[in-house]
Amino acid sequence: MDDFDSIKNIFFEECHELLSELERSLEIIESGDFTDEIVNAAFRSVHSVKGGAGSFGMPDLVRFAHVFETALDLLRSKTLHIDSGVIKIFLRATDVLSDSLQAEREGAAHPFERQNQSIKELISLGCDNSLSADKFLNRDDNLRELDGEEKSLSLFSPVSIELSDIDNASGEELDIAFEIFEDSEGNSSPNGADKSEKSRKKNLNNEINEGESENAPTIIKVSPQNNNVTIRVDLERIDKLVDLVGELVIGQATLRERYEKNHWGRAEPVSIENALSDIDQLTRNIQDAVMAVRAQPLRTVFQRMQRVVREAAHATGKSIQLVMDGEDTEIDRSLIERLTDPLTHMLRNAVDHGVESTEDRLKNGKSADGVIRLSAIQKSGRIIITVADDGAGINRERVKSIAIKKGIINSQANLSENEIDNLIFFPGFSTSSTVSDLSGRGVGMDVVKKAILDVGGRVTIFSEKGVGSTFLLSLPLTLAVIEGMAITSCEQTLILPVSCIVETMLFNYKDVFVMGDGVSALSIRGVFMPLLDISVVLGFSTGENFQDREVILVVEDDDGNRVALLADGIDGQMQVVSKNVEKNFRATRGISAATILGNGNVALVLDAASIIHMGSENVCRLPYPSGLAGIERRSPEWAT
Amino acid sequence: MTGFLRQEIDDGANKVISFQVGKQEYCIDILKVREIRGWLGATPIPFAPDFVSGVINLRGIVLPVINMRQLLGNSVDQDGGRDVVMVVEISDKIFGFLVNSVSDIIDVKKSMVQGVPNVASDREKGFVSGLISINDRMVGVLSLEVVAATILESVA
Repeated sequence: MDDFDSIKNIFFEECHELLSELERSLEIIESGDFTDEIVNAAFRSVHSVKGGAGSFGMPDLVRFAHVFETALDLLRSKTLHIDSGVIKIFLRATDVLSDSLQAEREGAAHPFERQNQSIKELISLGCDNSLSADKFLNRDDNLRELDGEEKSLSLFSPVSIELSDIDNASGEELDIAFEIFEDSEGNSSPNGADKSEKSRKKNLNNEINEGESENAPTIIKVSPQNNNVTIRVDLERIDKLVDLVGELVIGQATLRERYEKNHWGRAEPVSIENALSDIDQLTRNIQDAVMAVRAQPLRTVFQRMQRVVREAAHATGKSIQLVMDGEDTEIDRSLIERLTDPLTHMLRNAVDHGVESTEDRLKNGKSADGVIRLSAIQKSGRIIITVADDGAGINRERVKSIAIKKGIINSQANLSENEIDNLIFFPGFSTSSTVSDLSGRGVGMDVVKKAILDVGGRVTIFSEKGVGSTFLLSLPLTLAVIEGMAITSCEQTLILPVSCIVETMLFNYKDVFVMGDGVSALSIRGVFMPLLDISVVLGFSTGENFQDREVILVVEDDDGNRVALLADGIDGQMQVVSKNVEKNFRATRGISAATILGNGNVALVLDAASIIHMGSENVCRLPYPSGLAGIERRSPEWAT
Repeated sequence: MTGFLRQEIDDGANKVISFQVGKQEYCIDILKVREIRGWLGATPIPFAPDFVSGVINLRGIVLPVINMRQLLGNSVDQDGGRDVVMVVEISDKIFGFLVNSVSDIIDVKKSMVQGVPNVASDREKGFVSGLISINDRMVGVLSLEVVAATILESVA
């Protein structure tokens, strides 16, 4: 990637932010409660995109942005009456501008048809006569060349002056470049007229340098495989990290010095302990600081959802308002990327299936506008994202009959309401009898669930008839560190993610019941659940003397299946950094990752869901010693 | 570890590292070996083939250890105490080879490598691509490709 490309990339990144800004401004304007400053901000956003596009030589973008800008100017001069129709036109134009930028970035063809459509709408708002519609429309794809009249509008022809050529550039070219550059910084027009050409050149250079040194965002490469992935990080956070690393170096030197002194009997052991605890503290702080570098506010995803809902509502002819809350909640960058698709699916679903049509809503005494709430909150080490609609709720009879028809459940199955709700997550399930443009291909919710599970999250659903449905996504803060419970089994240390443990208790052999075919069940407060010995499941032992094991861990998978796991002991809770086992070996059933213990040994991290699944395959019968004195082998009535 | 034997270096010579597995001596290209570590035990992996002793931690990388005695079918009984792990990189994957000891660095010319006699077992013949006679010792040239293929095939 050469310098020019990287500057161009920064431009696109900035455009992305400018458009989010624009969208936000338009929404505030729509709410009616706005100041002139908000209108100016909206205007400036488009103006900056235009300016930037001009200096990078993107005539199609400049043309569209100019019309957009002119229309927004009507807002600024208060000659346009603001109503929701006007804002909708502006929002659509924002989407088109965003797509055009994307097309420009990928080198793809511009969405000319939509551009033209949007230009017509914008001009219909009553731009002054200098903007005659056909001048700006692309009559066909080849109509990129500007006709004579347009050539005179020098603003629209791309102005690009290589910095190295700047001394050779004509005064006129400089003026344009200068103006565009200043404008794109959001300043007022330059008073370049009374400056000598030379000083302007100097100024331009200065500004460019300044832009690079101070205003340029700190860009950090996240993944070495993909060179294009960059994140913007507050300089403050990087500074904090650097400070902490400095402290760590000092702490390490202190520790070494005290250790050496102690070695010669010249230091108090307590001074070493102090140094150690300082390093403990620093390590924790550095861990937090590094996480903070990768953390990004959810706003980037949430902002996109406005558009998703807008387009989905437009396509279904429903009137829907998206209310967002907690966009500032921060989450690991890698999770942000993996959230976009599931959230898009869920919101489309909420629009398509959740919220009823306007007539139905009015009939049921609801407001005409449907409301979808998208909110995020950080709660005990996890991020909870809620998607709630105020629609009709899940039609359980219909869900059930479709599940029976598709063979997902047995027609005699007696399911709880919650179980019925969860049927929508089954692969291939779709209640829509006709395949709609938005959802209803039957590849929605199961994909959502899988995507969320893949990042260590859970999906929960609440639905009330006539009131609406709520989807809760519970996500980890980061993928790198998990909270684990260290347990021992057959002298091995294993890690069980704390999130899957329901409860732990001492093992009492009296609670074990055997079913006819040798499968064991454990009675916990009168509730039976399958009993599995971890070492037997993993093939480390055949389970002799299993009756001597100490503890039971009740674990649950995301579908709510529970089993009781037998282990020798619990070592305690710890933060574990998960390491990939598959990279140098292979995926192993029952194991999700590995981690390094304090003593340098490797410990395997168990995958509760696959262990439960392995247990259900009846491969893990426990050997019951025959004639064990004092213990009666019983079979509960339901097993016979 | 025995002292290193230096052979005279001549054109086209490759350095190989030779090691003891049971009573046999084998060698591999020295450039494939990243480091050699003392054996401190491994964490067993469920459902792994017999020749996988488990996984170890190499400065944050988790890698499987292959028990070469098991893999090559030599005497399985543990010698104990003197075992070492050679960390070997084969086609982007990192393995640990558990061997009895590392014995030598040898300069080997192509011309020194003899064919494997027909009397060797099929298993042995698969893993060993040639033999080197040096100082009255017989050193088998281990074919890393075959070893890696065997490991990956049984673990894939």
